[in-house]
Amino acid sequence: MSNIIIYFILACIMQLTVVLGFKLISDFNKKINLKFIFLIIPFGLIMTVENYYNLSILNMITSLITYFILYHLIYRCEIKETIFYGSVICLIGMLIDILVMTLSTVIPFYLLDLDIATIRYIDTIFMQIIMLLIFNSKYLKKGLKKIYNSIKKIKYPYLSYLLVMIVLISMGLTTLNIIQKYSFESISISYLILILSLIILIISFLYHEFNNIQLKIINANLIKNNEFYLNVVADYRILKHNIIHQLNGVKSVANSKAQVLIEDLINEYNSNFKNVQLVTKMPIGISGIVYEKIYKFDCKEIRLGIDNYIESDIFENLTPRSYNLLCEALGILLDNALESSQKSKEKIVMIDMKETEEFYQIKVINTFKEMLDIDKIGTMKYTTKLNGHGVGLFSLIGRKKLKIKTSIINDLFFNEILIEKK
Amino acid sequence: MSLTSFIVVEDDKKTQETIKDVLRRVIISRDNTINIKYFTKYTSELKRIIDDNSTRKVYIMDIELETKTSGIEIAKMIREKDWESEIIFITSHDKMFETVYRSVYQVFNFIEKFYNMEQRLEKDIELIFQKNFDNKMLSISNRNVDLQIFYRAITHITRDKEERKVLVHTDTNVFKLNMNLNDIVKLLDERFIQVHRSCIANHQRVHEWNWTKNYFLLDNGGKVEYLSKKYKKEVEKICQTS
Repeated sequence: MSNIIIYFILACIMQLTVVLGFKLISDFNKKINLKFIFLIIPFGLIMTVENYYNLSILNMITSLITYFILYHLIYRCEIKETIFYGSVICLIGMLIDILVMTLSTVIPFYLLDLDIATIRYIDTIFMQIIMLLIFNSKYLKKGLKKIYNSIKKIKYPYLSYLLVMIVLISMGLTTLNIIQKYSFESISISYLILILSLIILIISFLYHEFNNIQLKIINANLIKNNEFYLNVVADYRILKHNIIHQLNGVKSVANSKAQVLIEDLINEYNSNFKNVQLVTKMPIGISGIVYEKIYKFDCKEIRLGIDNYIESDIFENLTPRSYNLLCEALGILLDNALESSQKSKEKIVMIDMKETEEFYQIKVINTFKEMLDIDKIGTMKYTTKLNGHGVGLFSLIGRKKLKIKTSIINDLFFNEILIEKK
Repeated sequence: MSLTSFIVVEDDKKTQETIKDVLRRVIISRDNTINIKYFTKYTSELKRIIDDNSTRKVYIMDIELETKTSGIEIAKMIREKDWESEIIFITSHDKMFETVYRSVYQVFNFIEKFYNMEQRLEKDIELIFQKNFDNKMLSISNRNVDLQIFYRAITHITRDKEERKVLVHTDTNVFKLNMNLNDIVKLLDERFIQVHRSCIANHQRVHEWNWTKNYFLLDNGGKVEYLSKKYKKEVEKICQTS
């Protein structure tokens, strides 16, 4: 029983060290409070059970997992940050563990007449002190920050691979250290669990890559369509220019009745052109969708306004998934706005685009003439369209990397989307 | 809320001088307590003024400022929070978006720099002074939507018997809200009076009360058949006093 208590105290001390270590080597200045004490107790118990049943290799994996959960719960930092600093702490811990173990075989403890539990207790305390001293190093903190800034750009699946590599190295080191003490079965079971985890990770990675390839194909088609639409706009502009000039030529020699007819024709050619011309003001990557929507609705009467303050390359700053999401969201909002504004007297649609360091912000504003149930907007199956399903806006709410805000100010409907940059 | 300040954002010195002359002529002779501030670009001081919602302002701005933040951008910042202040744009060209901006950002007027600017600006400022400022809003938010409607745009509010909701009628739209008449009346001001068990009317928007046939006509031509004699005395009293 006393052994279990000692194991438990040791486990709690170890967790305290790694949590404090995280605070020391990263930039998080969160105060340690009661919540934190309550959090380490259940994790301490898990580690105690493993220690008691001599599952040291499993201990490595559970330690990593429990530490990551602890860091995430206490510091509320990004997953990438948790994985990076957590892995560094584990690696440093492993190296110090080996060092302390080796030292303890050299130091003649038998002369002090101490039992194994006490030696282990001293070992652990000694190890925690060394760890805290290392974690307190300013150079380490600075160096790690630099490394983290480069690692930040790595995508999640690759980061998971990096994590598994660290676990493998750690397990190798542990095995070297303890292979003499434990049975072949316990080592085999532990490795089996690790191999299974690795297989699951590889499958999820392949699935992610497959999805990415599909998205890249879809996006390539979207980009192609964009270019195509822009070319069509350019051709249309030349054609319109020529026709209007020719009509003006004919008008100058025509009689008064024919002049009226020609004037009507010129006005008709000009009516939708204003809107089409505006599309060229849009950032490349979005213009195609807007062009398609304008034409689909045949919205000659709609007064379209576009304000574009996006200067960066959308393709470069968005992942294929985010770009796809942006196109989907913009398509849905434009469909809603164009149809809704058509029923109103003013028939105005405004697209307002800007960017910050973290987001692209696109606002679609339109006039409308409807009976709107405020509590049902954005819920499943609520639509004001004639042939609508009520899925569009609803499908955008709660999507990862996309925030949507809807507001109605007098007779204007504002939909704002924020899409996270890479 | 009374009109307290004029904010001019113009980077062209000559135009700024012209605006100064107009403001001196029109405002100072009327009310010398009105504060006038001049800017050539968007600054932290201007941001502070925009963020201060406690006063109502008139912004006179050039659209094409020679800095990164244009007049349009400043107007957008103003309208993020403030729908009460007035915005006048001074512009030299490109009237393409005029109608769109006028509606979306509630722009009072667009004045061309090189076409009767002084006279037009003077006339607009006079109009702003004469305008009865009434930009109070009904604001309601739920999980998915924020709703803001000018009181003056609401003609009447009725009860939807089937869904037990209230219907807020404006000139162009109807908004269904999940509340009852007693709840919504707490969010409104004294211009809204109960005229029927199931109807609250904005008496400033009522053109005619017909107590014999139990209906009232709105100033936009609409006819609302929710009028009960039970409320006649009270309605007449309020209409007489206001």
